Amino acid sequence: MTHLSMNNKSLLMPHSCQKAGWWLLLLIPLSLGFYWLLYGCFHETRLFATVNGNSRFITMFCYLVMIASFFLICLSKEKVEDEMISQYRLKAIGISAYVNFLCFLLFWLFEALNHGFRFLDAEAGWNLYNVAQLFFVLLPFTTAGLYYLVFKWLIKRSKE
Amino acid sequence: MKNTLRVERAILDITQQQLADAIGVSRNTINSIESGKYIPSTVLALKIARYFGKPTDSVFQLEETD
Repeated sequence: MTHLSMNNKSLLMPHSCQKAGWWLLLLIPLSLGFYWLLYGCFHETRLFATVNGNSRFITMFCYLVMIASFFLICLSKEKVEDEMISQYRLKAIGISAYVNFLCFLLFWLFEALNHGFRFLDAEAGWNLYNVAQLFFVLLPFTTAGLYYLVFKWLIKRSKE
Repeated sequence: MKNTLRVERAILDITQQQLADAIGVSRNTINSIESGKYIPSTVLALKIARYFGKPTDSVFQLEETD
């Protein structure tokens, strides 16, 4: 008789990766501080190209570091990763999915009511490239960031 | 679902942390089960009952509303 069993193998990384993620996140204020010391402000730079007063290199570097940190922090095991924690993870994913869908719905409803029901209307200043850029800039915050905040809040609430 | 975890623990005179370590969960999970905030899975309920050497339904009981 064949024996079927559920595969309970975790897809999460070891807990040490979470610590590495927090250390990596520390690179952002450190590099911004270093940049400040070097140039005295964030609006001008002698080394990197600038667009509309924004120094692109430091912004891109911090953004990449942030995504890598989010990846390590959100997808690593807790110190004791048990079934209650797994349930909280699932709940946090569910809540962040609800919030994301509601944000999409409200945003596009607002757009539709203000600019008429014309999708990505060029007269209203929209183009597909801008929308895609905005979407991908916000995505780490609305998915990983929100998920982690809800997850930690659920754990904190369970301890009260 | 109600449980007699706190009583069983008192009989054996063990802390939540000791029970958590023996079962392989966090202390917070044991505390949440005791206070009725978290309902354990069948596997965890069986593990807890086995640790106390009692049948599962003497440690965990269904309530009227379940």
